[in-house]
Amino acid sequence: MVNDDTELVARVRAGSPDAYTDLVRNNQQQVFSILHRYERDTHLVEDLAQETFTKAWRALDRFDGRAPFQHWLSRIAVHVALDHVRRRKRFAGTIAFPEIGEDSVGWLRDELPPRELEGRQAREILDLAMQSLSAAEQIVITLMEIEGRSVKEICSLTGDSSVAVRVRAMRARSKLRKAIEKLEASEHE
Amino acid sequence: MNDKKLNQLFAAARRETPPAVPADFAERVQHGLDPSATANVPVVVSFLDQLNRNFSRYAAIAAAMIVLCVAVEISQSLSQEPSIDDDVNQICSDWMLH
Repeated sequence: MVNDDTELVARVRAGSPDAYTDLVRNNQQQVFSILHRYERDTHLVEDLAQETFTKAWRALDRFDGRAPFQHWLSRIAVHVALDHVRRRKRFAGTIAFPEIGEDSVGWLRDELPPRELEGRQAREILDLAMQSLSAAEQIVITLMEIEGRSVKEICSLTGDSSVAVRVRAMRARSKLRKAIEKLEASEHE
Repeated sequence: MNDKKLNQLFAAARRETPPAVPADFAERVQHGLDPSATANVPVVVSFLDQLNRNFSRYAAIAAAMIVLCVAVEISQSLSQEPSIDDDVNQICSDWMLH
């Protein structure tokens, strides 16, 4: 860390826009970590990260410092991801999703798979299965099951109530299970 | 698909490492920023934008005023007191006579 985020925000506000470069450097890894859960293409992840930091720059006057800057920025990143997933769903017919590899197919076929799946392979399966979920459900299940965040954290990041988060997570899990069963069946054929 | 297998899938996805951030990413972000869009520059909102933004509020206030006027008129007519219409008619006829 070059400087404390709060201090850097104060410097940007005081008319030193260059301090924003340090603010980006301090938080870029975290933003990339959030966004790559929703997009596998690294170039698109970069675009989304850029969009996140641009939105944060424009909204900096609304940052009141009650929560850490990192948390405030995560909320923006999650909303950028949500918009991205919504857009992708809208154009689902025109965007080609990559097929899943042989290894992932093999893992799906096994009733009791003896080996651990690699992260990349798990993503291949999950990306296909997640297409049956709404954008909001994809965000909630990813935050909860892959990022390991608590319901309270998810509420704070998405702005949803805890009931909505729990219901969405339950529905998403059930839809995912069905979608993967379908995948298993189709891969058996 | 049992719960155990689904959990294994999530656990494996959790292990996936994020892509490396390009070395010049922060500079590129800074370069792409519009300096006039900083938080400190006051945003100028046009009259039409303000009207658009508050339209539902204005419509609700107008509707409430109409309902209030109708209620006053009805209550006056029920209590046999001269209504606004009567007053207007009176003024008109007085003016005509003059």
